[in-house]
Parts: sequence; structure tokens; C-alpha cells
Amino acid sequence: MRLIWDILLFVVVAAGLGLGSAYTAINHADKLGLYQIGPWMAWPEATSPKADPYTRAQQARQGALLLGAGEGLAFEAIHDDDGTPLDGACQYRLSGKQLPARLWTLSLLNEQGKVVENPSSRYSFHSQSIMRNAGDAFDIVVGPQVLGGNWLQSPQNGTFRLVLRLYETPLTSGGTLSDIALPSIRWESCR
Amino acid sequence: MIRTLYVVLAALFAAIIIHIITILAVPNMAVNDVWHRNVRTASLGQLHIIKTAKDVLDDFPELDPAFAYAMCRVDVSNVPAQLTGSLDSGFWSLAYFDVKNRVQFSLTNQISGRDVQVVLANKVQQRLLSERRDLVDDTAVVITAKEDQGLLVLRAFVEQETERNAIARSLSKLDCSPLWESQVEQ
Repeated sequence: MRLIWDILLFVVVAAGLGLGSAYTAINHADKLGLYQIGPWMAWPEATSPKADPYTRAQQARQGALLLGAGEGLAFEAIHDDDGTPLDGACQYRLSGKQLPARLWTLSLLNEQGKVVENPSSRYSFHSQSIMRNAGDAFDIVVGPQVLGGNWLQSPQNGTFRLVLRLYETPLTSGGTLSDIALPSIRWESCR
Repeated sequence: MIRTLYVVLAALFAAIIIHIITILAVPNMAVNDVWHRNVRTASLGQLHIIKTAKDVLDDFPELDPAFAYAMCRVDVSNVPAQLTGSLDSGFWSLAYFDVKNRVQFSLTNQISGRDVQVVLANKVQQRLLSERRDLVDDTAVVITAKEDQGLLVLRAFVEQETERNAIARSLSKLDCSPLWESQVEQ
């Protein structure tokens, strides 16, 4: 009876801790290899063959088609400059300058990861469509109310995330991530 | 009491082993990776086109809605694979994902412009191609396939929404096929 108890204890502890810790580690692997610039987060090594085993396991489970190093780098923001979650009922102003890329795009996704329907069917901005201020600076307003100019529709309810993708950027071919200035995300008002 | 302590210590050691084995085994056992997801949508050598912004995010939430996509599952264990054609897009990029979801190779059209000329070959086949220059176009980019099976993902930038249909049409006209068979056909 004592032997059966010891075997049971061994199996429960070994399997429970071994599998449980592996499951938890894979689900939180996005904490590894994370690079943060202000509110923007990127995982430059996520799809690299040199990625750590936890990131490799997470990528295999998600099956995500992330950008390769030769294509570019994607940044995500789920908070504004103050660290507050991006709220669809609020208006934000993104202010930036020339970004180090041949092409960049900015898209907005709702909580479900879908585009937000809007009257102008505009789901993203890119470096060739943006209206610029003096010089190479630009502003993009994100909010629930329809506006002219550089405007992206946010969802009426719930949070959202912004994805900034830099295509053909020197950042993935030896450039230094800390050297670049990504657009600020400033809260302006809420409905 | 001492006996129980030994059992727990042995179980902790076994838990570490199980943890390591599990982490290393997941990439080989995952059934939701890019390879298996595309098995459900396109057969080997067949292009899978994702055209609209909504389709893009329905199929793969991580993709950029400002692009249209062509994906092709390839297997170079016997014959190199090629992806060729011309795109109505000023910017495109290409990535080769192996079955473990790692990007083995990626590039943009900085040099090749609108023309897509990519050959995927393993090391043995690359040696053959370097000896038989007639088998592959001089302008083709030859990618080394470290794994025999994988997925070619071509992203074509849609500068204006009015261009999306034309770009999707040019994507659907790409040729994703084994290199030898296409040589025989010529």
C-alpha cells in the first residue's frame, strides 16, 4: 500500500509540475525576446531559427505567419504613452517622423483581431498614403468619431490594438532598435 | 517522512526532465502550425490566395490587411520547387516557413522589381543547379531549403484599394510548381 502511495505521489508531482510548467512557460513565452520602445512592442527573433526553445514552441502552436527578418519588423501597441489600455471610446493622436523603412503600414484591430468597419473602408495607413505636416512629420488621429485627414476608426466599445509594420528596415539587418523613434500615442479625449 | 521526501525530490527531478522534453517536442507535434493550417486550405503545389483585408484577418489575424497574399505548400525532397511570375505591386516580400514555423529565408523585391523568380532547393539539388545552369533562370533567387517541407508566403502590397483585384489576379497567376516538371513542359 505504501509503495502504491509513493508511485502515485511521484507520478502526480512529476507529470503535474512538468507538464503544467511547460504549458505555462509556452503561454507566457511572449515575455521572452520582447523589445519595447515606448508603448510599442516587438519580437524581432520570434520566427528566427535562433529563437529560444520556448518561443519556438509558442510559434509552432500558434502557427502565426510573422514577418521574416528579410521582410521587416512588426510592432504592436495595446497601451498609450501613459500606459493606459487603448480604449475604443477615446480619441488618440499618433505623432511621428520619418521611419527607417522602405515602406511602413499602420493598422488598427479590435479585441477580436478584426478590422473595424467604417464609412470610408479605411483599415490602415501606409507611408505612401499618409498626409504629412511640415517636413517629414505626420499625425494620425484614432477615434470613434468620423474625421477627415489621417484618421482611423476605433471600435465604439472595447479595447483595440495598433500594429505598425516596418518593411525592409535596417533594424532587422544589424541596425539598433534603441536608435529609432516610433510614433507617440497621446490620449486626447473620451466620449 | 524521509521516504516521502525522497519520492518528492525524485518527482521534482522527473518534472524538470518532462518540462524540457515537452518544450522541445512541441514544434514537432504541433498541429496548428502553418504547414497543417495550409493542408486544410490548399494541396501541395497549389496556390492559396488571400485577397481582401477581411479575408486576410479571418484566415491569419497576424497578417497585414494592407497586403494581399499567395501561399504555396512545397516539398523539395525529390525535386526543387519554383515560384515564378510577375506582380502588379510595387512592393512584395517572400518568406519560406519550414514545418516548425521558422522563417528559413526571407527577402523583398528591392532588386527584382515586379518579377518573382524564386527556386527552393535542398543542398544536394543546389549543387546540381550550380553545375547545370540551364535548369534555372540566371535572375532566379535560389533559396536553400534546410527542411524539405515548408510554405512559401508571398506578401504583395496594395497601395490603393482600387488595385486590389488586379494584384490578386496577378498573385493567382503565379506558378508554384516542381522545377523539373516545368522544365519538361517547356
